[in-house]
Amino acid sequence: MAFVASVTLGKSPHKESVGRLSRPVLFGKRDSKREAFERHAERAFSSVFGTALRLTRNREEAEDLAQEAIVRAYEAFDRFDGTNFKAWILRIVTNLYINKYRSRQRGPQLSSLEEDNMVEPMSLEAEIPDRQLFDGLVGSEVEGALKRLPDEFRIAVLLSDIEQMSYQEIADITEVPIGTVRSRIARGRAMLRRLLESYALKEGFIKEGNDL
Amino acid sequence: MIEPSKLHAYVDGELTGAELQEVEAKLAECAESRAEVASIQSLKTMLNQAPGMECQDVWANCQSRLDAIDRVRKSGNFITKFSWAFVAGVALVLVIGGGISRHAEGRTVDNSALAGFISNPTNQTAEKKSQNAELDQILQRANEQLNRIHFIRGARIVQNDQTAERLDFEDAKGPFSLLVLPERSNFDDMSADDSGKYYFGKIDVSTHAVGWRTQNACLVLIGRREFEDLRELAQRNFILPQ
Repeated sequence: MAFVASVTLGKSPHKESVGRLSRPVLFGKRDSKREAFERHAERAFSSVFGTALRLTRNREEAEDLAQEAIVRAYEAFDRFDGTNFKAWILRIVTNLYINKYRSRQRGPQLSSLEEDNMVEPMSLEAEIPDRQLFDGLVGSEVEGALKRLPDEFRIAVLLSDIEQMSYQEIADITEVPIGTVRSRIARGRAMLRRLLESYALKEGFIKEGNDL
Repeated sequence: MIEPSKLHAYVDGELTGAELQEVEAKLAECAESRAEVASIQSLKTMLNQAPGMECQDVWANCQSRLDAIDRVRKSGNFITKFSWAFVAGVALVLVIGGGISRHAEGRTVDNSALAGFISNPTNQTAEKKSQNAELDQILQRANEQLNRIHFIRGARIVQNDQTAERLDFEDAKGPFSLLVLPERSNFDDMSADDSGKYYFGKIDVSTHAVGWRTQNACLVLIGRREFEDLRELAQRNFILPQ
């Protein structure tokens, strides 16, 4: 199969352009937008999915929500300002949840008492000291208690304490004033502690705690 | 006792200036507030230890969704941006394939000129948008019928008084270009294969060209792939040599 004879380019005025053939201008370029998006999204994805799961409290819905958030983020990626991808995409997750998934939610949940501005302290009326309470709990029990918080408190607490977002970031994500974030976090944590304590007392796994 | 939400903000590192000083000063004097701070810290620590979620499979599904978006976007680009150039290119190919006879004697395709046609972006005709939805539909269908080849862009290149239509495509092996050189009848500096119907040229070490004659024009496929691959591409997808 010796049909390939060597071909010389001769003294063409275009000879110098031959070397430029490897440039992307000729054969199109790799999709740099997709690459940049994936770089951000893959790093943030465990937060995206974890937040989706803690919001929907249902694995199947969480997968739908996470996927939809990724798709929307990709489509809107031109509008990402390049500074804080995790906060940007968690805002998409949260908004999607509130606008689309929340109405489907069922299951036990405390009613929201947001009009009541009073923030209770966590420690004053505690029946079980923190160390005993928290040492006796396992992850699934904590997640179970978190599930029962009303949406606005659960969102504030999980963004702050699991996703390590600042108050300003949470205010941006949830589109409420920073003062509201502050009170939601304080009240959410107080509710969460009470839920954990009543769970511990009900299950009776903290015997020493009852001595107090 | 200090107002609890202030203590939460204090633990979260969200207090500054006078508010921070005020809380620090009061904390020194108030055991209840210090107990509350400790309690908040314990709860935060516990939540911070929440295990990460296993989500590799979900991420893989997301990537598939992104692939689908990219595919649609590519064909969408083709419809809105390049349809005019594509129409021009396809029309030309159809004219050639349909055998409308014009004189094509004497002029040749020079291997040394090929590089200029594909690397020189000047003198390209502007890409014009099609305003016709029906035409877009036809083009969409035409694009789907191309054997898993995506049309990327088309342009008319003018170089040293010679005109060529250049259509850029992409398939699984990467991008390649089709040059349509009207009114040429032969290949210079390119060697024929065993059948005598396809001609091989070389652009650089890894970029090759395969040319063939149709009734009124010479067509040349150029890509970063082997001669045999290019020839097979030509045989499968484009007008056969005359």
